[in-house]
Amino acid sequence: MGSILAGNPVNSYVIGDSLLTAGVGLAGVLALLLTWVNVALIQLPLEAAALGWRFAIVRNFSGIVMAVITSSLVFLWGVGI
Amino acid sequence: MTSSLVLLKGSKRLLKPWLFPLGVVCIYGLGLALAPNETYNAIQISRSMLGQLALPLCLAVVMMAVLNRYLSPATITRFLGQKTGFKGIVLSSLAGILSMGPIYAWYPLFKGLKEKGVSIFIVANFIGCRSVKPVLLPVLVAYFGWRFASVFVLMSLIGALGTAYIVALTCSEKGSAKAG
Repeated sequence: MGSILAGNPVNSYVIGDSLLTAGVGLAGVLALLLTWVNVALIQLPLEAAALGWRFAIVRNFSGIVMAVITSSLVFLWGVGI
Repeated sequence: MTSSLVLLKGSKRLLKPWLFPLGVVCIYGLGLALAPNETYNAIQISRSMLGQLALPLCLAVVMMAVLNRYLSPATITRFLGQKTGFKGIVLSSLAGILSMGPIYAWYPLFKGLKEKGVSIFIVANFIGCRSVKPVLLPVLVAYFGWRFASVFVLMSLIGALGTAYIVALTCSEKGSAKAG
């Protein structure tokens, strides 16, 4: 969701808060917040034009992977947040 | 003819910032006409949210004004230069954290940095660290609390480093990761 949606990060806080209220886990909300700014699939052509397709694709893809890894770590670690 | 065109453009520019609030007012107006009780409840919830977020939002606006006044892409380029190693990582992280505005506004800077010989790792780390927004920290804390905000910042920085490492490993011209 965070990779596809775009806009001011405050929007992701509002959506994240609503997701928490709806019963989604903190790790999932963390993944949303992490990918909201870091991964921009909509802006991929623009990033590719400036930095190259390879850079844009690898950066966005690894952004998603890192968000999943770090959120899973938080979930497994069981941080009392 | 020309003056009426200029007038039309001027009024469009004046109206543009009010489109969203006017749209919201129209929706609430429609809601009050169709389902007054539910709309009244929605207004109450919005009012209580505004009360909770008023102080963090004011703080965010003040910090944004200060950063916009003193930090521009040109300043960042000068500040980052061709720093490498640990210093490069720290400076690119700081630049990413302090940079504001939409990401596409920064692409020319990234392109310029890359052309100046700044490593791909530094550029990717800069982009990754943009998810940490100090100006929005009070709002983040207001929504999720200090613990979640701290974990989010820590994970963002770790994620940015990891992403930069993968990008450097994959996209570096020499085919090897040169961290900074």
